[in-house]
Amino acid sequence: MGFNFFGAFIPYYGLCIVIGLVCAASLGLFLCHKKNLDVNNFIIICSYLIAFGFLGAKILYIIVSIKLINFKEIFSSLKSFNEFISSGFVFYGGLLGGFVALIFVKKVHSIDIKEYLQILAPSVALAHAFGRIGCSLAGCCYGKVTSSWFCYIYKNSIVAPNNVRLVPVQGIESACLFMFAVLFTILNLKKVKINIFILYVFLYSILRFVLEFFRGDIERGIFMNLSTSQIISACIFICVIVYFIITKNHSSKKTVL
Amino acid sequence: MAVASLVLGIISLVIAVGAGAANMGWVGSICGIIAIILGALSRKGEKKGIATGGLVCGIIALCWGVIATIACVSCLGAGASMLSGL
Repeated sequence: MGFNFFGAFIPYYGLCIVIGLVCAASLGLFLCHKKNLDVNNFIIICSYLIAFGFLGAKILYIIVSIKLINFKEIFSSLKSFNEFISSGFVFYGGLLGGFVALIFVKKVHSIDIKEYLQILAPSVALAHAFGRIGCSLAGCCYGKVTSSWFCYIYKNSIVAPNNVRLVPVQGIESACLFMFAVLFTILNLKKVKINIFILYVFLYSILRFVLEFFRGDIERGIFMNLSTSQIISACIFICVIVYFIITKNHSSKKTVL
Repeated sequence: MAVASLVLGIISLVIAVGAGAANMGWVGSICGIIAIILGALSRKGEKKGIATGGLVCGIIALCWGVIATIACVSCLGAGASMLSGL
């Protein structure tokens, strides 16, 4: 799914990913300048996030789809190996990979990541929003069949069912992520004393949990009638609640002392 | 480190553009990311011009490699179905 540009085939998803990365990086650099942070550190953090993010997204995809993957065929030729590399990613795997990247950056390059995390929230949300536009154009992560007027109908998708009304989950998620990006940018500029990255993770876990009920691509991992992403979302939600309780207790004790 | 960044940046650009046609642009992207990291680290010291050159080449290689490679037939599942011959 893409278009031809001077003889070269440009896939929609790849193009959207690149536009998302460029916009996210631009927003991040702008916020770095506003908050007087080192731009070079931000570039280093982003590079590791991209590398570990893609790796994490691919690993989680392999874990969730392992019953469907024919490894013998993948390694039988360079073409099938490249096809395997270029398709199949799960966002939550990327998020988990990103956490590993942040720990790695702190340990190896001794960069204090706390302030940069505040800037990463709107940047990651923005990149993710563009990625979902790419999903919408490519036809992946499609929604359930619906009879509602609020739908999306594919005509030539090789993934989503064609000529059928589908819930536009990719568009809904993209719109919500754009709103998150705007909100987090404003919170950064207003210098609000709140952990914006934790807020992003918290809000996204709720959004993803709800939207998963409207997803129609049944190839996702299913456990206890919940998809893999819903289970991860629920775990993240609980972790954030626990984090808030612990930090609240900690600050109460400090006040008492 | 600045010179390494520039050299790797140029190599990554060549790989991303050249191998991109064979759907192997992801190799250029990986080299590009390394060039970006080395370039950003070098920009903190001397030889900022060379480091910036490596950084820019790395960024272009990364973007080109992603466009050339990430077709995302499916974010999840359908790609696996195709690969398993279903």
